[in-house]
Amino acid sequence: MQLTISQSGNDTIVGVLSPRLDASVAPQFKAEMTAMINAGAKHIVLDMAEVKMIDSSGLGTLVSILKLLNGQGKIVIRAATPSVLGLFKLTRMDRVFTIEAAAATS
Amino acid sequence: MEPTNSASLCVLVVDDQAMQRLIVRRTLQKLGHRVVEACCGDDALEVLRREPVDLVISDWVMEGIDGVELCRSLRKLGDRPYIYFILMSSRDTREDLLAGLKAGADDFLRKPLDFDELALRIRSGQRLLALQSSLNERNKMLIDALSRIDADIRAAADFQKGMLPNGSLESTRSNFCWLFLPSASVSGDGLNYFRLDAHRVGFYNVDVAGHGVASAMVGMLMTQSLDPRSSGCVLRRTGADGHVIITPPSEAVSILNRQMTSLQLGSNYLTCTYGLLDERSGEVVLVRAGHTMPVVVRADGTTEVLGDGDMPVGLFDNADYHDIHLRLAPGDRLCLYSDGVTESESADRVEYSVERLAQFLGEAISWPLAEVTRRLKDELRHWSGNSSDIYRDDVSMLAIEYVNGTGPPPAV
Repeated sequence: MQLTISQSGNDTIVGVLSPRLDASVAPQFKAEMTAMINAGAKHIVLDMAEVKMIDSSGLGTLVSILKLLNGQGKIVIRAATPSVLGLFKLTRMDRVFTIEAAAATS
Repeated sequence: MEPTNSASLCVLVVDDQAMQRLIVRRTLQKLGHRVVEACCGDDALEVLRREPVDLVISDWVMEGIDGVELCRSLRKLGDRPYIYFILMSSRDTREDLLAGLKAGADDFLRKPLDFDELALRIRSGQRLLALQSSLNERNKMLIDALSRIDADIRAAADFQKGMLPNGSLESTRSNFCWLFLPSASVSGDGLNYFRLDAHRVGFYNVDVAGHGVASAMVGMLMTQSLDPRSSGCVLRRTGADGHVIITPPSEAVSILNRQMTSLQLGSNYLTCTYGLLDERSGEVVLVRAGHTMPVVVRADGTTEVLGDGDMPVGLFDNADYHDIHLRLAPGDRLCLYSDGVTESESADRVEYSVERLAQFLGEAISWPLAEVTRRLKDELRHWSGNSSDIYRDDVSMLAIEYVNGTGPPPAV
């Protein structure tokens, strides 16, 4: 899986360039995000525009990353696709992650 | 540091000149190694088939199969311990060395031979072989350990899958029917229903996330907590006056959630819908914890998808769970199912979806309940285009039909 990382003010913006966030990529995703948090990232914006599907392992990994912040930061989900948004609503994870309203795309 | 292992090696010396073989042989024997000889590449391959050769010293230039070709053939022999290969030659240009390395040679010896150098080259070969064999041993230990862990996880999964409904509720007031199609991989759907007192029936459908040891533990804990026969059951308790008190679903799921989060299983969790049916009135109280949205099918075929719900179990220790109340009239049905149903994909990767499921269940209201789960299996197979890998995830469904409240309560 590939991630792009950039810094914008206080925000660490991470582009998740993988169509699936599932059991096969979750460990690597977690390792990279852990490294970022250890390096001081607190306000993390996950750009999910490319992610078509998150499975149960992927969701568990997102939660464990959120827990690493220990209440000292936040994770914003940006540009979630309909199926990803559906999963966040079904599991009420929209209450613990900040879901950014979809930007108008052409 | 020199390895203590100075065991003698079986060395194959390949050279078309008998005198050259003799010279190398004498040196090797003085160093304490066993020597076998071959006079050409073909001969060498023959020897390799019958002798447990550890190391080959081969001349480069020979009639027929030359040293580089021999090395290449040797590397293709496959499943056998690693053989250290030293090419002997007067050729030592960069191109020669690269060609030798590319064929899989480990080292080179210049002709005419320097015997001290030969001894040192053999020594480094020995070091690598010792390293290789200890690596193989460790790999074998790891593979053994892994297969033991795998077997344990499978045993846990089988245990969980063994907790399927057995027997009937002996009730004329409600019907239960279920479908369970396990996937090839170890994963964790579960469902069950059981009588909690004369009038109330508990039922659930769960999906344990992830794979591995921690997931298996989540599954075991869940199975124990939701089994009325288990001492760890959280669904009912006996009050001070000896009466059975049935735990409200929201409370039962909260307890399970606290148990699970206190185990610190990392990001391992489960989704479930747990509910109670009161057979006298058709009243249902249920909790949806991150699980798929239940579908209510009314006796006239109209459907409602229940969207309310809470978080999965095992993620946050402070998660709140709420009871959802609904009432089934005689002939109404309630269907719980895992995401293996709605995420079942067609040949062009379209998910079956809750909308299609609700439509299917609405049309199915005229069939007997037992037909619904049976035909759903056909429906999903048809949807997936009869693909062989339709069950990438467990598929499970529990369907409940309320008959009416007039029948007699069963003898408990």
